[in-house]
Amino acid sequence: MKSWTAAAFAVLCILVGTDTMFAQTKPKVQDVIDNIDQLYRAESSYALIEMEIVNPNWKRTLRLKAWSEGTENTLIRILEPAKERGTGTLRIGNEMWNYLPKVDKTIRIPPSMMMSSWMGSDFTNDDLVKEFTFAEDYDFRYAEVPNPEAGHLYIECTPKQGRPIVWNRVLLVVDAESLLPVTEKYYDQKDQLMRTMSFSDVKTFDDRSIPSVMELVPHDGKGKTIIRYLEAEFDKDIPAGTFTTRNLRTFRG
Amino acid sequence: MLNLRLALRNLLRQGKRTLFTGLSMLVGFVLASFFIGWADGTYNHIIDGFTRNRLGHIQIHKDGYLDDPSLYKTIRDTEGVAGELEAAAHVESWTPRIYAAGLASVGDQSTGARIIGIEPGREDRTTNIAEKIVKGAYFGPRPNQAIIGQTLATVLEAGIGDELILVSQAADGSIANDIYDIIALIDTGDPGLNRSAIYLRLADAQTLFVLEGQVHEIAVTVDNLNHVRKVTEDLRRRLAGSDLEVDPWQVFASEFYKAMQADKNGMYLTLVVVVMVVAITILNTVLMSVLERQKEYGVLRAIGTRPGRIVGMIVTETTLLAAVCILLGSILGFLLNWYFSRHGIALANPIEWGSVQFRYMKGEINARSFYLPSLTVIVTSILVCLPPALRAARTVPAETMRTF
Amino acid sequence: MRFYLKLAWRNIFRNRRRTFLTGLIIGIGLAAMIFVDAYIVGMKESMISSATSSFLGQAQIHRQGFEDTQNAGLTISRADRVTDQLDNDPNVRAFTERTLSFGTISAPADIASVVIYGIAPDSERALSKIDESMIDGSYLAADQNGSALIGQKLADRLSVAVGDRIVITVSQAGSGELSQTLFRVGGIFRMQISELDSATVFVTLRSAQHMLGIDGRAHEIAIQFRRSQYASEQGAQFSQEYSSYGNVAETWQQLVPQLKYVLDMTNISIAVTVILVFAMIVFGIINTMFMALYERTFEFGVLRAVGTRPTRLRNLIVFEAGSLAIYAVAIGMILGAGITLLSSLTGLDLTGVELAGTTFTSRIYPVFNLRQFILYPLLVFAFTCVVSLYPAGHASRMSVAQALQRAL
Repeated sequence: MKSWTAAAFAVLCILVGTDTMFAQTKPKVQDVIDNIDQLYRAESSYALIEMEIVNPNWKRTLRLKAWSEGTENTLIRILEPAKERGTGTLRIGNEMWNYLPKVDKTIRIPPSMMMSSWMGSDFTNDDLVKEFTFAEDYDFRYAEVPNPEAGHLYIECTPKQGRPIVWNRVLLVVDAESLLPVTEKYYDQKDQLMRTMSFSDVKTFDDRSIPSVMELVPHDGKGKTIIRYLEAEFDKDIPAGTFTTRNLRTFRG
Repeated sequence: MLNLRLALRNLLRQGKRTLFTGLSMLVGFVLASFFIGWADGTYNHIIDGFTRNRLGHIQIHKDGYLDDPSLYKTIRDTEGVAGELEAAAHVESWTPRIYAAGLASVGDQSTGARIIGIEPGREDRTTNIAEKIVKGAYFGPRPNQAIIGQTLATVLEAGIGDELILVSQAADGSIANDIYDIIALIDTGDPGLNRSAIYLRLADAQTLFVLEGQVHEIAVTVDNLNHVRKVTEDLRRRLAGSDLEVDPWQVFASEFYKAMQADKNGMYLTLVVVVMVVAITILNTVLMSVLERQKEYGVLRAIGTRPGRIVGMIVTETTLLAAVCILLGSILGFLLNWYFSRHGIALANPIEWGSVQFRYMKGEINARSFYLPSLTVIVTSILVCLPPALRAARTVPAETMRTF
Repeated sequence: MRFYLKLAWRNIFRNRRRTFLTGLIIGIGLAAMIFVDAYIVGMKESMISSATSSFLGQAQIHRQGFEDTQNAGLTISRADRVTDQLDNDPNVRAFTERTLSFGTISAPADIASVVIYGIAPDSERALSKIDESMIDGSYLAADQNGSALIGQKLADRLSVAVGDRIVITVSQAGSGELSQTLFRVGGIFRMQISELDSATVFVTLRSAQHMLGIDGRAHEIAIQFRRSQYASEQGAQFSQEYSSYGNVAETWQQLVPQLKYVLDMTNISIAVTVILVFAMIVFGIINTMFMALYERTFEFGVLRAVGTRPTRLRNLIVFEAGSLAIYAVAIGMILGAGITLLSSLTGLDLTGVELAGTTFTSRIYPVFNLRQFILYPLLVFAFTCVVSLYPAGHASRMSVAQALQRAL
């Protein structure tokens, strides 16, 4: 999903920024952050994604297309499984709709449902619409860990004062060479590992190298969600009228 | 034997005194019996009204469903369970249900809802659900019909005939969605449920959630509230070895149960008071009657009756009288309780709870309304007549035979 | 007349034992009526108090439509006017403003749907028992805007302790935009009301208003009256007075109708019990009287033979009954008062039990009531006298010769 890809970007950029801090005169922190924002804020994006959801009751693989424009507009369309082909989710600003091809109806998602899971995955409806703020929400510094793996960098992220984050800390493990994320580990107040996000299978889309597989595993043993980027495009023109409820209804490839 | 005949003769001879004493025993018995029958009756009436009309007396679920409800914890062998229910004694009726949560949408409005799949015929026979409809009609033959809570209708700005869209997640993970026709509004009696409930036909719900042949709950009603525990045990035995749990209403409606217990405890306190009053009334009359006959006993002693004999005579008389009164009282008490269990006391202002109206308070006939008063009468009578009997046996004839 | 009254009084004490016994049963019956009445009144009051003083309040004011739709935008209109009115109302003892909204609370271990109340901690103290129910951490202070109080069951489910981070998500009034706010668990409470303990969060009014985007506004005003009976007696008046500007004012009878239902049932229970006990007493009186009079047939025969007119004899008997009644009533009232007083000092413990959507959070104290000490004794006295008329009449009209024949 967008937020996790962007998390990877932010870390990458911050690392670049931090690295240069030691190598040469320290660049202004503000510049570094602005740089991150810009890099993250792709004007638009398109991706073909495979989402595998595993839980104690069933296992499903969805294939979907996702478009985004700025930070306000997102459109997701399900291609597979065939039974749900054509189902879509549209988000414009604060509002969200689902289109259901079986009954040919578009329904509004009320705010009360925003925290419920999207399509049964470990992500919520809200995750889809929330603006990425990983860099803004945390303070970063290098961390000392027992038994560090060679070729990995360890970064400790602590939530900034007052940010609405439940985690006590997040441990970021980054590949020292590519500076791409390997895992994100989320810890609670008692310092128990609650969930792990793993990144792998780096691919180049357009001219960006990003891990194409992301796996989110909550540690209650109740399953996991895996996202695979099959195709991705950035900053290409997205046809006008894409982010409308009318388009949501009419399935155009 | 002589004692018995003598006792009987004595009683008949006394006539009025026997009548008074006997009457106090009789009336005491009948009133106590009625009070018990009425108190138990009204409680059971309330409990019945609450459980029968909504939740059922007994519920069957997959193990662990009550503690942690989930779409996936289903009863799979509905047929098998149905078979056992048909065979079990005292089972009056049963009905299966499916429960799920989802998003309900009408026009521009949408909100979270609780979806309940019911089998229209069975559900109505078991819980009289059709009576709770405030507008519109109950399920008909057409498919995809929905009955929604009256407050939910307000929230969704929906009315009869509107199209209702339900979206949720099915048991296989796919997106469950379909359109339904709103055919009625219902007042379930529970404000929370009125704000969230949507009733569908069971088959429609099973299709929607991909739960063919499965249900979450089977609600059972028994013929008499006093049989609930027994039937629960029976069903547990019959379904042993399956992964199902059988719970009586005391478990799945535990808060209501605790409430009733509290109220019943209050009633017991009152019962103690009533029984005490009965005991004292009997005490009074028996005591007086024995004491008044001191002269008589004096005469008997004077002619040589042994003290033991006198005690025996008094006790026999009292016991005999008590026995007769208990017998008569049982008949009268039975008739009284029978009448009130059928007709009840009409309430000046019917008490309403949700859409269920209580117009009568009814009593009932049960074992306790017989044995408790009987015990009271017999124990009281004997205990009470002993001290004066003993005293009568030991008195000096000369003293007791004095006139005035 | 006076002669006969004196005679009547003396007569009943001639046979001390019988008088005492009869007096005792009547007295105990009366005491029973008094006690049962007091107990049930106490129970009703306890129920009402439990329901209203834990959190609900004896009355509440909302904006029209808020209770049905829970729309965060429907705040109390002209709240300043309403609070002024309440301030100046002599019948109102205390009131407090609250916001009320649905939302979710997130912790690392779990997410739960909850009801979020924004409370004004100081004025809330007078309305609810949250401050008395804290089992860990501390109650909210007026400016503690980052602190949240959660119930024990909720804390268990979320695996959080005092000081842990939680995020509360609500949708703002009007826009519907989701706002997420960090809070720290400031305290954990146990109110023994399952809805509160497992699905309710308390934050300060200010932080809730800010989260919801309704600064300065509130959804609910909870009210306690000076007299606990006010809601029952003048509920309609109160409703009328405060249901203006588009607001709706309701008393607890309308807010928790299940409670009213149970109380109605209880009233009938009292009525039937009292009637029953009364029937027993009346019967006891009749029975005893008949027995006593029957025993004294000879005595009455003598009186008649000596020249007492039948009417006088009848009156004598009735006066005796009256005297007996006074004696008995005295016993009854003392006994009744005694038992009720004793049990009202210790109270009857039913704490923790939930009944009709409320939980007993205090003991039941049988309540003295003027009715018990005026109505019931009067009834007993009146009945005794009336009931004695028949046997009195019967005794007075008996043939003298027959009466004198009675020996053993």
